[in-house]
Amino acid sequence: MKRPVYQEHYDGFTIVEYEDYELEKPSYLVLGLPDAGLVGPIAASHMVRTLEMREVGGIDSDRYFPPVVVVHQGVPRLPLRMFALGNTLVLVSETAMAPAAIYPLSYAIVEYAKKRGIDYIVSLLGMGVPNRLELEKPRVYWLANTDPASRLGEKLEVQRFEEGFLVGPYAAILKEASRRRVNNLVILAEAFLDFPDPEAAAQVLQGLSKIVGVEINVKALLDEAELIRIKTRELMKNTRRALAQMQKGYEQQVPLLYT
Amino acid sequence: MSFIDEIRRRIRREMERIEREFEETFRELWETFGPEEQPMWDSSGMLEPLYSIYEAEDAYIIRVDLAGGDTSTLHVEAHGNTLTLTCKLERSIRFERWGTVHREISFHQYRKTIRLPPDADVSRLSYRVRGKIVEIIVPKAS
Repeated sequence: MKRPVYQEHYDGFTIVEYEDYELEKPSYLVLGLPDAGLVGPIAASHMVRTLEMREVGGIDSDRYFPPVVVVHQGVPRLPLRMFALGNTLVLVSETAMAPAAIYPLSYAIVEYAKKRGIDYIVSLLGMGVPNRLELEKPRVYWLANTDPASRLGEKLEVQRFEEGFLVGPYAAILKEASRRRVNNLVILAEAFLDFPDPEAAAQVLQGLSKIVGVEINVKALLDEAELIRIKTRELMKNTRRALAQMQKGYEQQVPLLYT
Repeated sequence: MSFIDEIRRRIRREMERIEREFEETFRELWETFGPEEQPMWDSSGMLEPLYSIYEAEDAYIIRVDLAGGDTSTLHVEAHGNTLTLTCKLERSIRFERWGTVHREISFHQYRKTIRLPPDADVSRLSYRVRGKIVEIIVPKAS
């Protein structure tokens, strides 16, 4: 495992940096956490691989994560890995999140983004829709918690997410970011709730390209979609268990108040 | 129909409903808290697909993700309350390394057995395939 040059501890989580990286401005923290259709992790992993981003840190927890290391190319890595390039830091998780970890992890991520001077947290997620099977091309929406983040969302030239519920890690991050006045743009694509959805991941990546100003080619992602669906079955299964405990079914519910 | 017969019929229907609910609750609990250690593959080349069951008013809908599968070889077999589904992959998928298995491994076929609620009438099942996702519709016994 790489030796950290810097560590920060937040309520059971440790964020480590392997090097003292700098991001160009405006800077973005892109989140790829497991949720509906694994849209975030599939999109973030593709971005990291396509742009050949540099691994600069990671997140671990001796309280909320099982005793696990992810081994890649013979090198042990942390369960949440951070990659950097240009103006973008990407955080991607290869393990499902236990519900108990969600709030403290959200706090740690938002606090770290604030200390690091990140201008925008960009959440990539799937919005489980029951008729996904009928949709050739999933629609993309955006949601933002501040005016600057809304202006960023408008660049996507897609509809804003107007009504509904968000459930899961991204909902906790949005609430935490709002409390701490950190810009958070959420890019959502219609997705399968419980099957990996690389097509939805490709849609959010095309949106993200417009935001961060870097072209992310999604052809390879679409070409390998079926292989990705095979390889991510176990992560999807574990994520599904975690989402069921977070009452993910709320996302299918219509809100009561329209004010 | 006598009053007693009517009462008996109602009790029987209520008991069937409770049994259905019990089965459903048990299945959900098993899926949520059941053993995680079981891998979704085996070294003989078999993959277990992801699947979901939804309950509609008059049927159970089972969706199965057969990514990479040759759906012309899909075979769905019903026995009592269980469905067994097999489907060959379009081509064998070979991995030099697969997770902690540091040997070459190839996968050839999907196979999954799914237990359904007691009122599922598997004799009338139908299915359709879209984008390598199979949707199996099993009507409820009337």
